[in-house]
Amino acid sequence: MTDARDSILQSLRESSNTGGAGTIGGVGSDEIAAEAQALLDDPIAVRPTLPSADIVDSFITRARGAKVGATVDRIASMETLPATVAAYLAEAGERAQLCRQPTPSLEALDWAAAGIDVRGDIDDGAFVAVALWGISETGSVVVHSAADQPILSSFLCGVQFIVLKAERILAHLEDYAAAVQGDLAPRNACLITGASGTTDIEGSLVKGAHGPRELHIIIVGGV
Amino acid sequence: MQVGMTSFKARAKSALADATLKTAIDRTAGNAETKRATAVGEFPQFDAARRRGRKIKDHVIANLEHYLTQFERNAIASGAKVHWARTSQEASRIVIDICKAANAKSVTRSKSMLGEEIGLPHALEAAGIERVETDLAEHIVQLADETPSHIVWPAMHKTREQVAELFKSQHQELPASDAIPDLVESARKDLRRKFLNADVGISGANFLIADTGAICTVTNEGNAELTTTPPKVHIVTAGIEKLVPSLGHAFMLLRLLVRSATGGDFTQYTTFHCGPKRPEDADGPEEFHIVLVDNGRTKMRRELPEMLRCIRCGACMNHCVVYRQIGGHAYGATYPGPMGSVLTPVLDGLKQSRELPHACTLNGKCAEVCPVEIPLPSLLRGWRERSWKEGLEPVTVRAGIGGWAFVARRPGLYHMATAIAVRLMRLFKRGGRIAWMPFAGGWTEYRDLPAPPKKTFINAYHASRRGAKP
Amino acid sequence: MTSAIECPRVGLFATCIVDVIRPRIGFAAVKLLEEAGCVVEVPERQTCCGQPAFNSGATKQTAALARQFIDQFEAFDYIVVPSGSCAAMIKAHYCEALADDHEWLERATTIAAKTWELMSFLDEVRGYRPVGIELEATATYHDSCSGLRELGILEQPRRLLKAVDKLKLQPLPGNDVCCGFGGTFCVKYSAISNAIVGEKAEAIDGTGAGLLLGGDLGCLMNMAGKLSRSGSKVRVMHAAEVIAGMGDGPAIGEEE
Ligand code: SF4
Repeated sequence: MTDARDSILQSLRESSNTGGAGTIGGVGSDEIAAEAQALLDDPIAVRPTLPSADIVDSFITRARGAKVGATVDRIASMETLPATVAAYLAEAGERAQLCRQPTPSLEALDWAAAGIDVRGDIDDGAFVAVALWGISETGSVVVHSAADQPILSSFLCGVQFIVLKAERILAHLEDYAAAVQGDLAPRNACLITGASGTTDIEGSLVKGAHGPRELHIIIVGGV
Repeated sequence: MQVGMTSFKARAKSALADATLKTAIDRTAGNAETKRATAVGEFPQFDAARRRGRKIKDHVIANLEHYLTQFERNAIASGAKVHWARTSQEASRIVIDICKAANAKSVTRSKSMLGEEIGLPHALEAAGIERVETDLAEHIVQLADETPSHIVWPAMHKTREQVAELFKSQHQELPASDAIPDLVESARKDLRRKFLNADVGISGANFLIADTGAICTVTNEGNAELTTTPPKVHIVTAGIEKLVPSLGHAFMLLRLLVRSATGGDFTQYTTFHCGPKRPEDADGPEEFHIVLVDNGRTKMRRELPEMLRCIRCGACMNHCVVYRQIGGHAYGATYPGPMGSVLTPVLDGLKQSRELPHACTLNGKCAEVCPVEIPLPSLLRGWRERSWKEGLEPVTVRAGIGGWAFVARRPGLYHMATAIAVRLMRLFKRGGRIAWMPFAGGWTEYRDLPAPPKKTFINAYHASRRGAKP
Repeated sequence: MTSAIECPRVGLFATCIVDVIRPRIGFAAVKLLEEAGCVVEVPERQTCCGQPAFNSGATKQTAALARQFIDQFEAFDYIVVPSGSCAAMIKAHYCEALADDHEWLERATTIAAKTWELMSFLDEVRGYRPVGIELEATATYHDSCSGLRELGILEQPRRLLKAVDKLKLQPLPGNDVCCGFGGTFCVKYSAISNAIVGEKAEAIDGTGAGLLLGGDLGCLMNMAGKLSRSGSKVRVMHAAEVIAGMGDGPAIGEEE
């Protein structure tokens, strides 16, 4: 194994056109870092512009757009979340059942009052989770794996509810990179941009490939 | 399968005779072409982004050793085990050994062209390990016992009718109809059980993030996460060119990749995987292995550095007139289309694959759409030069081009030769056309040839200037 | 728009295919260049630019032909070529072919700067427009790949053709998609080439135009040959012929 490592690195060193720069701790490291940093300069020139000046409006436009195909609701506070979820499920003709991310902000809510049966087993049903961030540029929501954030649940559900605080919406992908810069990377950082889809048969888009068929984003606050 | 047994020309010929294949390719590639055009049209910064993307890749390739060791250090710190493989055999052996150590009976795989390149499907089969392909297209290809025909749409060669046939004969959950949503639903049900019971999940990586040691997968189906979360062991196989300095760099390239591949703005699931399950985590694999694969890449860095920029978007094949006629299998290699015809001589040797760089009109469309500005036609021409230099070109071609160039370098002789050629050609003309002529079969089998007038331009022009009868 | 040189001396490189197959294009080019105020010369010893050797990987032969060409043409103010792909060979690829030879590389760079494809030369350098030329026809236009992608030739021929009275231009769907010619490709991989040009011929027929125009004889021969083989009535000509007022003559593949 070490053999392969050495021989690959050796062969890179031999063919290196940077004249030996790039070795660990070597003269080149700082220059390399500076060059890498410069490649991130002037992001405005190389990224799409937002559809509107307002970050939340932009997020909604992107998330609802045909490419992402999510639905979006806005509520003033967490208290009305169960009722909003219940209304969505009723409208969609789904049973009033769901599985929720085991996190205090969701556990504290009175789901029963909204007529929702909270279950432990997802099995293609509804799942509600709280996103850490939203990204307007792409209409994405971000979840990180954690003790109270199982990754698998987002993929085993049939309908995915994502709760997103308005103040957690960032403008661009770079803003997310900056937000997590220096933090210990989670095992999984997942940018979710719509429901599970596939174009594998004749290039035509079908939702519900393996994971959720629908993604419903509920923006809380900022109204 | 297709490799080696028949010649490129024979495979191309049978592909051309397959009208269903053409329908299938046009449906998907046609869709992709239109969607890409729209996505690029809606992103006025695309050209600037391409130049930046190219610079990012060039920077990484120039400093590959730095980034590889930085990545390795951070990956190990996150709890990953990092393996290195010089060749495809070494890479697949490492993967099989990890599977065996985990007592794996069944593995799930999330689509990875590198996995195909290193022969993983075959190696798993040889080791007696059940392989479940989780990408819908790879699943179709597996049921049909074929190989991918496209790097983004492995089942591009299949029409929905053919997929329906496959699913009806092999799924437990039969599709309700031939409609595409019903086919997808049938696969969803069939695959779901298998996801959860696998012992090992194997994925590729679209990017390796040097400053965190994370690997990035992108899918629209969500199958990568379903492949890599439930099993005890997650193995990543990745080419060493997949490095980027940081998350921000990955995002810049993702903007290009997604638009060029599917015409979306972003993939549905873009996930950064960093190490195994943490003690407090709700789920995730206990072991996380990353296999860094060279397989010709260090050699390419010397000889074809531009090609290491490739981010595997597939746009070059969607826009290739040759690919669109013959499909991916005719190329007889892991990577088809323009990028494949540049890569295959590296991977399989030029002698085996010298036809591929020739099977191209050099029209330049691939380079025009390539999101990292790879000059594919020049690279293909480079292989032609190599092949000529190494004496791999057939004698007929060498004699033909050599003889013609010999004459063309002797103007007097050349103009005598053209005058004779004109006279000979005119022997075969009917009206203004030639429908058949010896030595011109390649042309006249399919097309008429215009008959030349009695005098060449040079002769006629100078004759008229000298006042003679033109 | 007009050049600094009042009456430039232009060396016309007819190209090897035009020389043999369709001298009319050469004569059209001479006429147009003279009308555009140039002094035209046609070097008698010209042969081929070397493109077939270049695209076959025969580097030595390519370099030899490039040197011969440079010798024959470098004295002119401009070198004009009625073909995008041959012009691109000289403009874009001679420097590659002679990269190892310092002295010749310099000469190749100099000649590259003064070599032009015919229609872009007329339009961009000479600001030329045909006057009093008329052709009652509906034409469609195929943009050959080298000219389009290596030299940026797209609007120049259209601007010239718009000045031809009574000529209607009908857009061709997939006008920028390769016709499958590709030089030696079309005979080496004739079956694939045929499939490509077959689709092109259908697209051309579908426009309803009676005339197909373009700027590269190789591609035009390919499309004309396929159109006539498949029984289409569409006639095919080089755009320069129409612009020069020779559009009423025989089309490609018609009896003189
Ligand atoms: S060569 Fe360019 S266009 Fe082709 S797959 Fe690679 S990145 Fe995409």
